[in-house]
Amino acid sequence: MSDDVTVVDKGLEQCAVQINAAGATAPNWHEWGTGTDATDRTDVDLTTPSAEPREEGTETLVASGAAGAETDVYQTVATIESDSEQAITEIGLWTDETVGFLFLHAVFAAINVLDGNSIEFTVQTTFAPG
Amino acid sequence: MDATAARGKAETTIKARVFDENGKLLADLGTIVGKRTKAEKAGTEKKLKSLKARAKRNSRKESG
Repeated sequence: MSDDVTVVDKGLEQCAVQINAAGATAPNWHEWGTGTDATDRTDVDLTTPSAEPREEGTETLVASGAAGAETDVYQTVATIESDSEQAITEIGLWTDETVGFLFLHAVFAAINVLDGNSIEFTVQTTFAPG
Repeated sequence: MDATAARGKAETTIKARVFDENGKLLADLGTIVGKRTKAEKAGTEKKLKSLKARAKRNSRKESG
């Protein structure tokens, strides 16, 4: 018999549960920017972070709908208010308000905002069988 | 065979809603990153174009 290993569904679900656990280093600090470079697994920062400070997101666990998994999606929701007119094209999730490490980096089509406008981001990370 | 080859992965979906300075909803963009239907994608693009046109109008107003 050949070698074989699988992180089973319940194990994947635990990834979300442990991130969301009390006292955990949760990646729920949202930062946005105006960079357009493609994301990469080696990213440690946004390409062009904007001036606004990171905002702390509200964390919850939700279900993806996968059989037997009720808390396999880590969700964080935060709203960032813009201090200027700009085209937002990237977002990152951090583990700290000012330092920490980058957990997730995404780029997308430009969202044009004016001074005083805000964007509410709902970020859901599902730990799925791969 | 490499026994570490089989593993899970993380998939991310990001949704966005845009509000004006008074907290009034300007656009519910829906899913901006992640899996979506063609119709959902087209709907998001239409709303993004509307926000871009609004920004252009604002720039013209401020420079004029």
